[in-house]
Amino acid sequence: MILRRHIFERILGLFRPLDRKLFRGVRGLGAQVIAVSVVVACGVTLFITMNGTVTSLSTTRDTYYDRYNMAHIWAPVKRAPMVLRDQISDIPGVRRARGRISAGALVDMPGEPAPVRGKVLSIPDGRMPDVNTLYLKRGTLPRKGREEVILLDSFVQAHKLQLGDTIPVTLYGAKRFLRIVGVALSPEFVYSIPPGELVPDPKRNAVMWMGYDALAHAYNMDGAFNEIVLLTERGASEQDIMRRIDILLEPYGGIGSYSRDNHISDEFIKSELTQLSVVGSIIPPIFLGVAAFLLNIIITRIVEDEREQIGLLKAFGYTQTQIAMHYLKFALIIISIGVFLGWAGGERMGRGTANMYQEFYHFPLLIFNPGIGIFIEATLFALLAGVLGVFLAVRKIIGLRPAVAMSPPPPTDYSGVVSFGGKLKWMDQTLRLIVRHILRWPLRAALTCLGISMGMALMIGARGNVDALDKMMMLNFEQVSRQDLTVSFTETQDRSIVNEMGHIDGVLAVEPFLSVPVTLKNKHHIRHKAITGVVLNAQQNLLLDRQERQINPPADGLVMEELLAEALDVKAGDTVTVKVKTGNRPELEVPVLRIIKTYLGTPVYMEMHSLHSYLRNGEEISGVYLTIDESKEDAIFKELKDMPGVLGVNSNNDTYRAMRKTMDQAIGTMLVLNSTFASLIAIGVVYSSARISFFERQREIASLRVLGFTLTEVNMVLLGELAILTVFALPLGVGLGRLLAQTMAHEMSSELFRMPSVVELSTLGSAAAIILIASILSAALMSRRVAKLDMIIALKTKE
Amino acid sequence: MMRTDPCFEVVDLTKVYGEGEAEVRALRGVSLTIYSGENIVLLGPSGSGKSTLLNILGGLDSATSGAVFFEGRNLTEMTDSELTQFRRDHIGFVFQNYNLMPGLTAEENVELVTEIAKNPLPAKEALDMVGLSARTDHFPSQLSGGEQQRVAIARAIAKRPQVLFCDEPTGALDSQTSHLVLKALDRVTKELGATTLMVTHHRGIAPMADRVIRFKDGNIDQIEVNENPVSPEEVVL
Repeated sequence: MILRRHIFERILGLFRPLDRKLFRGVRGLGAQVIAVSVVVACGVTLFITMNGTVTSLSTTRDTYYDRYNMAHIWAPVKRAPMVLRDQISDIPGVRRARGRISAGALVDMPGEPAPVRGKVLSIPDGRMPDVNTLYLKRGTLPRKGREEVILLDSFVQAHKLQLGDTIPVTLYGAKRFLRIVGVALSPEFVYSIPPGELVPDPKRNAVMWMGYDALAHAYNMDGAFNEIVLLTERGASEQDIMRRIDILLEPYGGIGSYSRDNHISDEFIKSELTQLSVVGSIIPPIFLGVAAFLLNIIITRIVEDEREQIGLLKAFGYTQTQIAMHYLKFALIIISIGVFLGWAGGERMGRGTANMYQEFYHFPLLIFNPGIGIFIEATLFALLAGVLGVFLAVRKIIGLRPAVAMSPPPPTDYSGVVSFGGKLKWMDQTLRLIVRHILRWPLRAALTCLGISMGMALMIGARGNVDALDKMMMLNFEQVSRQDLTVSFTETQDRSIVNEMGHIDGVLAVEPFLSVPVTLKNKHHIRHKAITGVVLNAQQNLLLDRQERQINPPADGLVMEELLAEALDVKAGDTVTVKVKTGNRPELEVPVLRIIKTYLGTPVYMEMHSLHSYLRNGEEISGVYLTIDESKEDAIFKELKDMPGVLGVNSNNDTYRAMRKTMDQAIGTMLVLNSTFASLIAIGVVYSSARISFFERQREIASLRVLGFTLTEVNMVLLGELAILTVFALPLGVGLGRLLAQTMAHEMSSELFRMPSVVELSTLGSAAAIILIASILSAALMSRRVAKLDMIIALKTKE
Repeated sequence: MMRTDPCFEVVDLTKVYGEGEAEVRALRGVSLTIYSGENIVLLGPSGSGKSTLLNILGGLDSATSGAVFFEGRNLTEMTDSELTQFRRDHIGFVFQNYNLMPGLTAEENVELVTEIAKNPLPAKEALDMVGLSARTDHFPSQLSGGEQQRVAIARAIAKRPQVLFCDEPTGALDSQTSHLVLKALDRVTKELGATTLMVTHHRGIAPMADRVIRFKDGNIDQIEVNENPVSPEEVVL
């Protein structure tokens, strides 16, 4: 006991002065400590923010779904009697099944030229549905038999509606005035996407809930339903249940059930979460890698500087481990500062980001709980970076014998550089000094170069995402969807309506389309899709491949998106089974003639005449694209609103605006964040490199000053290296940035959309500009140090 | 040695480092005249002020008070860039620890100076004068201490400086190598007619000088004049 205490005292006695040295050393590093800890903090912050947001949003979503009974399976049908519901409830594994009416509607909002497409869903009279339960924010349930509705909160907000207001709704061909009695959120409409569109637009997505009696009356559905929503038991096989439901509903016009996986709102949330975790798993490691590198160069410098002290310590009897620990502590202090900053930043930013998403998704609740695990994980990663950085720095010196370590090192051996650098006689002295210095430590020069280019790559990667989305929008709105309006019909119409539409004043061109809901089958692979019938040489809504070339679908076969073809395991030339869900519901064997690559969705196309002849259903169409004279837009809208059979009219301009807004909202914040952090990393690397270079070479610099070199000439020697490394880092950064953008685009792609990997020139330019500014600032700071350098002290310090 | 024009005139020069309790008076009112072509050895214990004087005369450090005139121009009133120009044009330095650029060969180290000097010796010739014509392509890491110091001497004299400052030039060398270095120094300064100021601990070097100035406590303690300086070979180290 006494002995142990004695040893403890001795160890403490030995370590205390070293620790004091440690703290002084850290303080003496000043700005460099800040540079490294900021880089660490950025990595930790991003890690916690991204992964914490993913965890929190997943938890929030799951809790929301759970509390509000989000359905597991939806099964649309044409019209089925209520008794069928009980049969469905009896399917093993079904916890609760409810039949409801889902009716398409057109809302004629006063002051809005375009009619808004809406959806009216039935709820049980006098009580909340127990599948897809509503979160009633305000108001009450509709009274039995009354034409009263609960409205989706986002629509109410977008139109500044009040309880008690009435809205004109065309339902089943008749115009009705529905009174708003409640405002609600629904787990089914977290992502409020208007039917047939790509991005949420609360203004143009009217979702209403009406009592069953009233809606059944209005929609001619008394005693019947046209959609089953159900919850399954935990562990039940959804596939099995869906198969049985489809069999039961088949005679009533069932068009195939689907699970959450194919529920558009949920699919979008999932895609968003995937994107966040992709960013969360790619970006922070880069920051921590750079931090490790920075620590490595700093500790290397300190260790070389303290070579004699290390020899002395070893002479006193310190072990290699003790000495290594000393320098490890150095790194740990710096890392800890970064980690603490990162914790605080991650907590704040994670909460902020989660809040932003909560608002965006209209979750009624937010559970921000990134989990201690994420903090620990982030910390471990940061520590690992520190240990790695230190280990590489000290491993050589602590192995030296004390006597060797204590004597000053011989002049740095440059003789080797001649072998691969040549004599460089053609260069002037300054350039030769710079080049030989780079060649002498090629690994470090390469790492510095890499560090700078990583900062640049991060900036390019962050902005590249935005470029990709811009590109997608540009393609969609300028190349693919050139129409001004898309008119869809409640039921398919005869093609003759095209002429009718053409006669509307102001309509310049009409192009029909047909959308046929189908089930595609190949072997055991099944997908519920819609085949789009398109005209040859379309002018308004073009079919493009990824090279932006127009595709004309070949006759008598399908054109299929690559991802869908992969999911169905078909190649061009194979045949798939197509089960049509409407009309006579034929089951057809259709060849797949061509596989294409697109950016949006996973579409299946067929030439319209071929589709008609397959369906043997006459020349029916589901809607038209219109090109119009914009000055007559309002009149055209008015006429379309009054046309029977028109389900909805979408204006491309509105869609564009909504998409823009979503992008700016969701991406803007992330972009600012990532760019800021990326700039910090670039500045951190450039500044640290310049600073290290200065410390290492201050003796040389002092000698040059003594020999009569001017400040400018000396700066050339010192900063020339930085300049050369920066110049090399720029193209490398461009390459890495493109690679990063490409990787992220690939990782973020889903069946909903594929991100093109485009990096705009302006993105490269601004990234390069930030790197150059960082370099110039660092250079300016260093040249101030050069000017202040005390020649005598510098020359007397040991080599 | 015949007295010629004054090269440096030092008037009541003081240098104080630090403030308050940490104050160190390195020079306490030194006055001295150094003549062109003179070979002076400064002797004295550590901290006696000899290196400080050398640094101020060489334009590496500033004085706290007093004045230093070089050919009539007051060094203490010069700006940093004027001092740089002064060093560039007139002064050569040789340090105890050589201070060669490790990234340049022997010849290139000398060229470092010949490139910016007005009327330099060819680098090869300077190296030849210190007996290193066979080692021009070697990097400092490939040279012995004595050879490195001789490169440093060649570098210092290649610009044909009017004044050569040597701070402990043999401090890190054994006696045999020291002789070689001293010989090289003696030869080049004689050939170029440069004024030489050498700070050293070695009393044995003193007989080489025209004048030996002994420092004590920041001031001149004693000045000896050698009527017949000895050659480096005769010096006992």
